[in-house]
Amino acid sequence: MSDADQIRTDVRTYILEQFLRGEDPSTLADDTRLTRDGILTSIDNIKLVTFLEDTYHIAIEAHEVIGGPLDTVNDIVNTVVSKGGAR
Amino acid sequence: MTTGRLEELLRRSAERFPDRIAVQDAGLPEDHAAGSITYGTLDREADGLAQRLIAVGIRPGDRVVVRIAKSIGAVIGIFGVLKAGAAYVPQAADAPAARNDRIAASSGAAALLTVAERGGPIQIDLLQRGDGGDPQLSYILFTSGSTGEPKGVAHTHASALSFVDWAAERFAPTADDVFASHAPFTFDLSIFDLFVPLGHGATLVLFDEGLGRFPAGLAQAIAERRISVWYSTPSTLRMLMAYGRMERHSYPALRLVLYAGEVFAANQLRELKQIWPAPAYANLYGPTETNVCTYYEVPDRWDEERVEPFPIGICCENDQALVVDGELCIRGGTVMAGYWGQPELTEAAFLTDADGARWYRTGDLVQLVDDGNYQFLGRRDRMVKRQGYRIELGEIEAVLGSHERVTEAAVVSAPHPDQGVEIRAYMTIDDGEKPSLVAFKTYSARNLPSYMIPDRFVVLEGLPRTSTDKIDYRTLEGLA
Repeated sequence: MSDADQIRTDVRTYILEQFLRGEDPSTLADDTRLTRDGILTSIDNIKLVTFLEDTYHIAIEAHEVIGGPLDTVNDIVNTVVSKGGAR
Repeated sequence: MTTGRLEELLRRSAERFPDRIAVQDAGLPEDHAAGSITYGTLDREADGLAQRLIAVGIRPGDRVVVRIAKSIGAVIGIFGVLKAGAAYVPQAADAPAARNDRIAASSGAAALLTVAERGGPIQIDLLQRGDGGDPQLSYILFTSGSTGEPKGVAHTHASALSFVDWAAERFAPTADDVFASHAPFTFDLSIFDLFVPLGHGATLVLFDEGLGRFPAGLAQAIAERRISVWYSTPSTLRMLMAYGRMERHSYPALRLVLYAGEVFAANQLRELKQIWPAPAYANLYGPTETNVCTYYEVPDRWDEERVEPFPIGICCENDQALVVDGELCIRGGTVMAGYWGQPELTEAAFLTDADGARWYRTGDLVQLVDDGNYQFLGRRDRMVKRQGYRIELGEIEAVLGSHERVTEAAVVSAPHPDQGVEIRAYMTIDDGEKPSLVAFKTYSARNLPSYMIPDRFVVLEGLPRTSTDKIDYRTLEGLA
C-alpha cells in the first residue's frame, strides 16, 4: 500500500469512527465536502487538524484551513503527502 | 436619551487620527497592501460608498443588506450604509442562499452589497425601490425564530449608542488599544467590536470565520497582532484553551478579556487565568434585543473549590432591571425598537407596568443574590445557546420537517463537554430506506447556518407523546 493509500485509509477511518459512527462507509466519498456540507462541526474540524498534526508529525497553517483547502478526504491526503507526512 | 449617530464615531476618529490604522484583516499578512486601512481612508471609502448608494436612490431609513465576508470591505459597507442614512442588515456570505434571500425580503431591503472577491470593489444591486423609513433605524440583526423563520431585531442609533457609550465609559478604550473582532458581523457581539474601538482611534483586527475555526492560528494572531482587548463567547475561549497551543506565545499587550453569550464555568475561567494572568475579566450579559444590559467584573481571586459560574452581574447604569415571576425584564437606553415588521411579536415581547413603562422580557430566569448580582438559572422557553448563538429549536424542526422523507421532527438539546450543548434531532420517516447521516447533514447545511446543524440525527418508529398527544420532549431529552 502506498503512503497516500495508507493516509486515505487512516483519515477515512478516523472521520467515520469519530464523527459518523454507525454510518455506511460508502456514503463518505473522497470528494464529499466535509465543512461546506455540514458533515463536520467546527469542533470536529479542530479535532481532525489535531489528529493530522499528531499522527503525521506535520504542521498545518491557518491559511490551509481557511477557505476550504482541507475540505475533502482527497484534499487532506494531498496536503499530508505534500508535507512529507509520515507516521 | 443618547443622541447622535453611529457613523459619527468614525468621522470623529478620522478627524483626530487620519493616519492611524483603523482596521486590520488578520486573514492577510501584516504587510499586505489590502491587509489594513487607515482612519482617513476608511472614512473616505465609506463616504464614497454612501454617495453611490444615494445616487442610486437609497433614502434615509431604507434597509441595505451587507452580504460581504468579514473583511475591511464589509466594514466599509456597514459605514457606507450608515452614512447614506440607511440601516444595515448584515449577512454571512456563505450562509444558505435561500435563508439569506428570505431575510433580505423580510427586511424589505432596497439594495444588496456584495464583492466578487476579497478586497474587490463593492457592488450595489438594487432589490426594490427604496421606500425610506425611520432615519433613526441603524441596523437589523436576524436571529433564529421559533416559528421557523428568522426574526429581525431592529435597533436605533440611540439604542446602539447607549450601549457603545456605556461600554466606552466602563472599559476606557484608547487610541493605543488593539481590539480583536472575533464574532461575525451578524452576531450582536460585533456591535461592541465595530463601534467601541473605531470611536476612539483604536485598531480593530478582524478574525474571520476561517481563522476562528483554527485555534492554533488564532492564539498566534492574538500574540503577534498585540491584541489588548478580547471579546468572544466562552466557547471560543474553551476552544483556544483545548486546541490553541496557547503556551507557545506570550501576550503582554492583553489588558481586558470580555466574554458573553454563554455560561463560563468558574474552573474553566481559572484555567484561562493561569494562561492569561494579567488582563481584567468581565462577563457581559444581554440578548440581542437589549445589547448588553448587565455585567460582572470577575474578581482576581476566588474560592478554589468554586465550580458554578459567576453571576451575570448588576444592571448597566443606562438600563433598569426587574424580575417578574423569575424572569429578567429590562427597560432603558439599550433596548431594541422592536422586531422588524412584526408588531404582534414585538408587543408580546414586552410587558407594560402600571405606569405604562415597557419592559423587554428576556426569557431568562434569574435570581437576585445577596450581593446584588443576578444569577442566571435557565430559560423559560426552548431557546438554546450554542457557541454563543441563540437557536430556536423550532426553526430546526421546521427545516427537517420539510425534508421529503421526514414525516415528523423533534429537536432537543443536551449538555456537551466540548461544545457546551449538543443538538439532537429525532425524526420519523416515510416507508423506504433510511437516508444516510451524510444526506441529513448535507440537507441541513443547505438550509441552516452551520451552528444550527444538529450533531445527531436519530430515526425513530414514532415520536414519544404526552397524555395530551403533544411531542414528549422530556422523554426525548432523556434518551442517551
